[in-house]
Amino acid sequence: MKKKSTICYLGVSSMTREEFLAALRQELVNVSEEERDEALKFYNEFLDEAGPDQEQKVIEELGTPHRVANIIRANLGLTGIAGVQDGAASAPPQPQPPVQEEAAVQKEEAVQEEAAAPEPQPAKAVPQLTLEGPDWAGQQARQEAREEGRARAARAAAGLGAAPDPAQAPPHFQEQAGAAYTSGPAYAHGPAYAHGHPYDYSQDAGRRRPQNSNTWVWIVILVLTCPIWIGLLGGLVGLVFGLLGAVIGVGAGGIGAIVAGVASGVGALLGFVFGNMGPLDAMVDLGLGVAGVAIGSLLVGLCAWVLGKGVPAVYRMARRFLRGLTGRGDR
Amino acid sequence: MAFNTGAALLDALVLSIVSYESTYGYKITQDVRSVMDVSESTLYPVLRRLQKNQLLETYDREFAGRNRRYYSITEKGSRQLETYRREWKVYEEKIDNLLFGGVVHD
Repeated sequence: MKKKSTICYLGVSSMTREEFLAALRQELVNVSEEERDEALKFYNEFLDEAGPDQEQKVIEELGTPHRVANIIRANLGLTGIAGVQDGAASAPPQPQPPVQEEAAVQKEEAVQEEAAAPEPQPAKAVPQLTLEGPDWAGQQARQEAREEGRARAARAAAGLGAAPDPAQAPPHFQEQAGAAYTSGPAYAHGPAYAHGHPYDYSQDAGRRRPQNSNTWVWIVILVLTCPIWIGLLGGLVGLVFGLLGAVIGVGAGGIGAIVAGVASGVGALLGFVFGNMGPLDAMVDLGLGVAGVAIGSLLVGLCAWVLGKGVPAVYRMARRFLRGLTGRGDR
Repeated sequence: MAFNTGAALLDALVLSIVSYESTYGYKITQDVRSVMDVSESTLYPVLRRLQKNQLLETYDREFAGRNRRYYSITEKGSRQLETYRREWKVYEEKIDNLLFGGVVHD
């Protein structure tokens, strides 16, 4: 069947309009007369519209009469609207069993689709490498899912040409998009493989070595290097406290600025009220006071923010660091 | 076009093309093919099905000494088109969200 259509296809370029239409009529013998006439009328007009110049090109683009007929037949049984389940659909489905040929067309198209899809394929190598790995089962499952997705995408793509499925209508968009995406990243399991391996080995290494005589080595190294790491630790602690001091200093400065600002403002007001200060001087002092309060508030706020956010973060980091250190030291 | 979208979109495009102006099969085919990568032979079954489902209706006009069959949208077809347009918006937004992240939605 497939062979025959291939031969037909090769011969298509030399097909005239009359030959095409006659062959199409022949292909549609087992379709109702009404449907056959409709289709032929359509394609006859279609070629009229294309004009004599385009005629040959259009005939080639349409494909073999065999294929055109298959697409027509595949759609005859499906009267549902592609988008919405509409029970009130008219036109009784016609009993047409072109199943085999239709499947052939779909398969052909699916194969093309598959071949056309540019896919990075480290797939073959991966299972071999991870055969012994703990994630083997997971990998296999993932690959199976991927292959199924790809097949589904190909089927859906072929279905677009031949048979729109009324059942998966508006979700059809989503369905197909979804399938296409599952088919896309064939390397989706690549990272899993890259991840899995070094990780597993490092775990093994961590588990085995300390139980041998390596514990002693570690202790000796720790003791020998104590001048270095104690110094580093001390420096780190000093740094943290230094920063803390700086932050607190900034906060204190802010409080000072607020106090000074308030004092300056009050002084200016009092000086003006009691007459030992000119209105201009009082105004300048008052302004400076307000500016002082503003800057002070800003500094205090900054300090509070750093203390509120930074200190817990540093604390957490230090704790994690210490835990990591003692954890390794224990072994 | 790298993106090959489903049969429902094909229906929606045909309905939309015809909703602006009644037109004939060859023109509809060219219009659809200008945005979607489908074969020329795909459109006839779509038009036939939409016609059978009374979303489209046809009438014949003479043109340059031959017949030209025009397709026009029915009341039912217009309603269906509205549904498709709404669904497309939803779909489009979801895709945009994934493709362009927060830019579209946030």
